[in-house]
Amino acid sequence: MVTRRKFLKSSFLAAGAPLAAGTGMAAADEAYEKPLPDSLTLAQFDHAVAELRHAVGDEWVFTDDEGELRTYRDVYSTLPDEANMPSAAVAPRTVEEIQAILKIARSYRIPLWTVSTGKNYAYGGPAPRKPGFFVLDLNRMKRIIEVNEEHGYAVVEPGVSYFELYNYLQQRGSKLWIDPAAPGWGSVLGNLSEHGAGYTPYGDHLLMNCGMQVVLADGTVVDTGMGALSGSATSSLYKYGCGPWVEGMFTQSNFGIITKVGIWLMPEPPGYRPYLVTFPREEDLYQITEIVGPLRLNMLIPNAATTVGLIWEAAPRATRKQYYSGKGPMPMRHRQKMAQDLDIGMWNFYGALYGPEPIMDNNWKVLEEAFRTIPGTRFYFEGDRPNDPAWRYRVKLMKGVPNMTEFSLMNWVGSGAHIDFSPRSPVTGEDSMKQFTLIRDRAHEYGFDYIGEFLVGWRELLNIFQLVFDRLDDDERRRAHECFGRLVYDFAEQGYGEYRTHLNFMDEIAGTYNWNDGALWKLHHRLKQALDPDGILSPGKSGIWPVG
Amino acid sequence: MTAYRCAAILAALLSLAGCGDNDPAETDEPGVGQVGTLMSNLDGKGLFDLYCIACHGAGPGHPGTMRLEERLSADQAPLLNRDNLPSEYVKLVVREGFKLMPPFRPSEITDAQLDLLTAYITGEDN
Repeated sequence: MVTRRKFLKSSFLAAGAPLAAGTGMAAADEAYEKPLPDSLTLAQFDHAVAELRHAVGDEWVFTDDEGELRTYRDVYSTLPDEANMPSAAVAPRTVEEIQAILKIARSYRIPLWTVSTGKNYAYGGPAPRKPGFFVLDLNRMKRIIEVNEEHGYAVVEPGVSYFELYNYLQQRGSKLWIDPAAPGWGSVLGNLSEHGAGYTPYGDHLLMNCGMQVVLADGTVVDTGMGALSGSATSSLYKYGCGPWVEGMFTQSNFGIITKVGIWLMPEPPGYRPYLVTFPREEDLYQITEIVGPLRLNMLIPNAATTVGLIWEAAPRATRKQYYSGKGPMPMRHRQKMAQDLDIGMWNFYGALYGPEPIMDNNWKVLEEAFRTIPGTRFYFEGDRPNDPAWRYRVKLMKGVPNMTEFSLMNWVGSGAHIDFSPRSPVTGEDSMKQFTLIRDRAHEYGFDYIGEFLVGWRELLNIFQLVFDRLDDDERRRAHECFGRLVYDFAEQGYGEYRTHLNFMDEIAGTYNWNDGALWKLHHRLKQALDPDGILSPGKSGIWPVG
Repeated sequence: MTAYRCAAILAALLSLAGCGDNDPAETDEPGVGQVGTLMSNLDGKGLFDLYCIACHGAGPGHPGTMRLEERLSADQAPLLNRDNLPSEYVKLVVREGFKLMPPFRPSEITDAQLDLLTAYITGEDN
């Protein structure tokens, strides 16, 4: 294996590729101090690591700051790598190994930051909340424990990615669809536990969860819902069991380690007809939202109703410098030229019809009539855009075929990275325009393009703003960080909350959920104290810290 | 790589393949399986298809290929078409990441798997 130091001296760097710049890689010979948890001395760290090696095997404990641990960086962070560098990572394969790790962590008071496939980029990737934390890396837990074709579900462990579940089903001729997040390398379990979404009618991932296994900080293993019944026949069929429904409590939290979930899978429908509707003006968003809201609420649009902004739609086949070489946000006349060249709109609505042909025919009549009320609307169907990768990846996502095309957005600028700002509002034209203009104007003020899309989940409007910046440009990173921080407060003032956020903004966003003197987060902290009195599980997740 | 390290990796792979003693759900029942089993058996092509092709395949819609087209000829942009990739370079980019590409952890691609993957990408396994 090449060492990092040798690589820095290689011809690659000599050729001028600035790999090291701005990625937080310190000069190779610079003095380096290993980050450690506050609770540990270096000697205690060494003892704890030895015990972990004994528990899971030497191969699955990583401590080399210049080697293995660098793969745990959040390379898309707006802060330097050092802000989130772990001191160690441990990768168990079984629940029993997790229990052994927990015993060691309790004994040394080691903060364990749990990740599954570790691909939650834009929200932190595999990196921990604070430097020195240990990463509990569950990627090796890759069992697909059950697939039930008749009742339409799977039961999976944390390390199973969308690609892997999809491949598994395809290899066996299954007629069940999955519902992937846009990047197919994500974890089925991890995305669900982060309240992620997809683009088929099963797009609300937590809604499609049925049954969960959780390991508590003291090592107790709990099966939830119907799974609590010994020999249960309905663990993955009925969500609520009897008594309190607790699954949600273990999502976006640090009250336990989720080691298994049931996930409902959509049976392949008899028909699938994706469509794209383009709109020529930014202000059309108002009317699009007014039209889409009732259609989604009444389920004539049965999947995530997605209105994609110009640059997001363009990025799979164009880069910024092809249309604008200046600094700051791309001016409108350049954006209009790009829209014309690529035959796309300022807004681009993606949806799909599912079901028997007569139902799709009838539903389309209603949809077409509604969209035609907006002047300049254009419609596209299968076969109309054969060379457009944006169309193709949407067609895949809306029928549950995982891919990575959306990462093309990171090509928009030089060495692109992104953090995502994700607020929700009511589904009204007024709210959509307020969200859009607030973010666009703030992004422009800080010199960034607006790259966003709006999704109607069911009764709420989610705006995903991808704050794309050049990660090799320190000034851009700084501006991106400041811009994001401003947006948190801009939106809180309007009564719009974010549903998910990056590691480095968890406390800020938790602070905006402050009704009645922060009663909800006080409840979270009481639960934290009760379930994890040693404070070892993912401290700081969602702004929930160990008490004291 | 030391003999001990080789042995440990082999042991880990055997464990992944379902040969370990502590595998609670090992079964041959229809519809029940383990991706871990499949992954441990992946050859270089299998690893490439799982981890690389979605970004580095040929044609539109592959972000890595799109990126490389900016500085390479169109026929050299898909990774498998490259004829000048040193093995050491491939391994380091996998572990360090590059441009928009994040690093891959040893819990995803082990060092032994990285050898197989690299040999496939560079054509050394032909």
